[in-house]
Amino acid sequence: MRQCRVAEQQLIEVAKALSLDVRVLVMDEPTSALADAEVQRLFKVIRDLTQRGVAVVYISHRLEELEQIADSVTVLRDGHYIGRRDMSATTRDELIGMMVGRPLRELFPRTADDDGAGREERLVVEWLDLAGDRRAGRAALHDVRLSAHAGEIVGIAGLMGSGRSEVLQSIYGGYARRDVKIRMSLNGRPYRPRSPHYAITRGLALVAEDRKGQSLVLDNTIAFNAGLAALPGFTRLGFVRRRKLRAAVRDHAAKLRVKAPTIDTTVRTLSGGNQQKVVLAKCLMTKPSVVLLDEPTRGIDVGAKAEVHELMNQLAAGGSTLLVVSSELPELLAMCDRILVLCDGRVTGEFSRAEATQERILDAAMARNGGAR
Amino acid sequence: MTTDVQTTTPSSPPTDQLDSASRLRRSLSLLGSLQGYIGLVLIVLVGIITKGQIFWNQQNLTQAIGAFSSRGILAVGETLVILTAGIDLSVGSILGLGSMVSALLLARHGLSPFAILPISMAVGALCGFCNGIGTAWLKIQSFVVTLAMLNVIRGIDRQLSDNVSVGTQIVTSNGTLTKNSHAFQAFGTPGHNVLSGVNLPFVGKAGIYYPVLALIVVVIVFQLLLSKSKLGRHIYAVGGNPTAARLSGVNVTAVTITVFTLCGLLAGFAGPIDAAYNASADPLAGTSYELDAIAAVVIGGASLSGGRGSVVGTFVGALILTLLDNVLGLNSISDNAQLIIKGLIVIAAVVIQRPDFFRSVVSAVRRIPIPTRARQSTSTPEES
Amino acid sequence: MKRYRFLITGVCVTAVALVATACASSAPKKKSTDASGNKVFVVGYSQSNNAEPYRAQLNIQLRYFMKQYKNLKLLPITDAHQSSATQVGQVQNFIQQNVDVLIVSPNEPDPLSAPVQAACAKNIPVIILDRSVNTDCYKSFIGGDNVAAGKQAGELAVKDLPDGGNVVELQGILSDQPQIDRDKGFREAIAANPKIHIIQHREAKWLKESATPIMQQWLQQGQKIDLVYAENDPMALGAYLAAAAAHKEKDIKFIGTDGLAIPDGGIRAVQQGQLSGTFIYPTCAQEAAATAEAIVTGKTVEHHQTLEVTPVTPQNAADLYAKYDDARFGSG
Repeated sequence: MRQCRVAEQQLIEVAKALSLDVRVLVMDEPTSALADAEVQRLFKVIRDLTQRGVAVVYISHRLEELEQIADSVTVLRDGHYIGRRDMSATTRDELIGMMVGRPLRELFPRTADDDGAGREERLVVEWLDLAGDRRAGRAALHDVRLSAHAGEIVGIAGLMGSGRSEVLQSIYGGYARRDVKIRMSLNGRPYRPRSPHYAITRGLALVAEDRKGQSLVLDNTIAFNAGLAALPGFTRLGFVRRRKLRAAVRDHAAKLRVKAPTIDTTVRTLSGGNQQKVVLAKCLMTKPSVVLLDEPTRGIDVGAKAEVHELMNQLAAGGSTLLVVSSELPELLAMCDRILVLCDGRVTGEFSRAEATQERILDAAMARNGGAR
Repeated sequence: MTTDVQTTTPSSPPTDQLDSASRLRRSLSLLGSLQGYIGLVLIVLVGIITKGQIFWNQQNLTQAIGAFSSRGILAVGETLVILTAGIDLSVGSILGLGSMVSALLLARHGLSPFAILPISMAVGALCGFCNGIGTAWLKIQSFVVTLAMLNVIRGIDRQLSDNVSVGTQIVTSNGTLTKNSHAFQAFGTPGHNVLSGVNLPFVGKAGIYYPVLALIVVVIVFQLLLSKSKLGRHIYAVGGNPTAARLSGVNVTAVTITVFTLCGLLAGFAGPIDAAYNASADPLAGTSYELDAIAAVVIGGASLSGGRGSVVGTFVGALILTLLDNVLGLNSISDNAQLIIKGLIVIAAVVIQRPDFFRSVVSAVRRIPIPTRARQSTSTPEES
Repeated sequence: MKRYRFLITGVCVTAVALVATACASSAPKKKSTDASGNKVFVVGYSQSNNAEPYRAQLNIQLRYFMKQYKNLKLLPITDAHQSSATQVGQVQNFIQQNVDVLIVSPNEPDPLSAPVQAACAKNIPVIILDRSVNTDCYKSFIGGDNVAAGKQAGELAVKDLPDGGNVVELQGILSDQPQIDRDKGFREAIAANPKIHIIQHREAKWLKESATPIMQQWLQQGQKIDLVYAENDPMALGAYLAAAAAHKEKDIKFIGTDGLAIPDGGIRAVQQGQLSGTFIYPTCAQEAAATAEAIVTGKTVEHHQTLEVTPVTPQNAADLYAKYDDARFGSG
């Protein structure tokens, strides 16, 4: 099971639940890691179940899914019951209003004017080959090309297992050198990924896919986690300059609006959204020029999602380059200036903001031979 | 372009304004666990109540701590390893080897203590380095590597000594000790202090018993290392989540090799202490010491799965073990009863260290669930 | 040719392996003869634990005495590391090799009784050294008497304390038979003077480092101690260190047991005045070799040979050291 990616694990969880003879089925975010094709398959199964008389409680924050599958919707916020509506009698805006108190257009704050057109090329990957590893659940990559400018947000789309996370990890240096064949340049100069430490010193930062398993030391504090990657900048003669570090952490936590009593709160007790903000704080403290984000808003509430998107906007406006992997097409379509599509480890499509539509991206993601453009 | 996102509830930015109670709790948690201190105080109280001055005097306490000193030093090294979610079962053997090497250097080569100590530490560091290479580089589980090294090092120890013990009180032909032998006793032969003649606080001119001094210095140095240095944070990160550590730029391999080497170094440092305490080095010296060291670490609040613990906590655990032995001995408790009591204390110490222990006890007593920290929403629920 | 490369290599490797295995089995399956054509008898000795200094001595001496007999060949002594299961396997190994004489120092009586009986069934004569088994089929049992060791220690204590006094006793592992015997003998002997009391006794597990803190605690408690009896020399010397630290070593007498002739051992300690006496528990090596020789030459041997414990006093310490010094027997 460990070798399966998060999305595959989720499908297996669903299958496990369905294999039992159920009368009431409660599903808690069953699609947060699934791409659209798998979601449709799941919905068909749910419709079959309801027709057989099974009651399904479907917990999700993806309103577009609820519109497809739900008969009625109950909204909870901060542990309180907010209200219940018939799905047909309500609008998405009303639901979001109940969930968070803010309108939809503020969930995705990026507009076509924000892209980094005309700015210099920051990151260029001429070719990237990655050896697959069945046992570790790693997909292989073949001849992946990409480029990104300063101030640009580039999205990477594809089905699960298509190699999206692998692209980010390869660039970041998270794999052994012998497995990665790459030619890339950073700020015009050739760059050879060696290790995460090397990447950090050269201005790269990674927000990994699985924040609990890959990014956070859960039993330790916000201050510890946020300061972990930036330690070299706060160390003198091997000793950490604690006061300076804590001041910087406090700064970033305030800017990101991390909701916690103090920066000495244990990270395990935070909500998903706040945990993700701690991870972001850790990355931002290294003052990166390129930020690699792998599913940055997976499993976090709408309010936090909006804040993360706002942050992405601010980073891009400040000149940083962002590469974003996401399974949520609406997010990619709304936030990215360009979208790359992967299928089976190859680039099968590249769309600018104007060209990109959900159908075109899905076509490219599922194409077996060659790509659609 | 963008508007500030508003929420209905005011978001409280994390502050550092702690009230004095939580500040105290925070500083205590840095220096070991509260429960550890409570246990220590309890044992001291029992000692004072049952034996009064016989227990609570400088000589008895010095002797009790001195007897456990080499194991306490091993426990400090073991703390570092356990913090990275590893374990070192070979520390007892490394101590034995260091002890034997020290005795042989003294008895057969007449080296001075100032030469013996660095050599013993180097031998220990080398053994620890091998453990580190096996764990981090060859990627064998540390339990397996150090278990194998336990035997290898013990075999080398016995081979060096030809299976007989080697004394460190070498007498010359006219019945007095050799100069180096006499100096070697400063490492911890009972009744011999260092810095005697120098006017020190608490003890005056009587001097300090080196094993106690060494243990305290080791504890201070390594507590500072763990809490204040970059390596210390890296150690906690590697033990807490090695993947997160690696992706945050920590060189996990280097950290692992370093902690095992430091652990071996400390075992080598304790070698002469053990040889001097017994005025001889036995080829089987240190057998099962790793169990005492690990017990001290666990009682001190560290988690065997890594990421949690501190050196001061281990020191408190070591004090608990040795003072418990002292109090039971002074009260002439029978051997079998002592074994049972010590075993139960270890279990109790681990159980009450659990983070939710107090809460579950209180709620079981009161039968009301204790509310966890929840923010009050200022909005009212809507009706549908 | 290329295709057969692996086949040829495989055949060669297998052949080499077979030859190596055949050569490695060093023990001759049949009685062999030496250079001058006389019959040489093979002796196998299964030791329970080489790590104990007493047993290390035993091994050294046994090898030495075996060499004195030209018609006896002693195989490498096996070490069971205190594991009865290991020792059973090693004894069965000797039986497989069809040794002419089997000597065993059993780790424990029960597990080793069956293999000893198996050896007897195959008509292999067995000598049991020092610790017993639950079968009677052996040719000879050779051992010291731990009760006697304790008794003589007790008699020395009575002599050292003519007006009675307080005695503290440091015991080995409580469940070990030698501990039980020595303790029993000691208490029987000191009963002769009712004014001698054992005021404290504790298990120090045969270890010097365990004895020191125990003695320190006893001294802290403040009762007057006149004599320390330890069931082995390391424990006695550990107690001596503790007493020396409190400057009380001159007021207390120390009696140990073992009497090993090594620089760090009991005999030297008696010479230097740390112990008032110790008792050499015999290694039985000389008798074992002699008995083996007698068996192979067809003579009858005693079924049960008990060897005496030799007291070490300040007067005879120097001579005894010279007599039993390791160096005399070579380093084995």
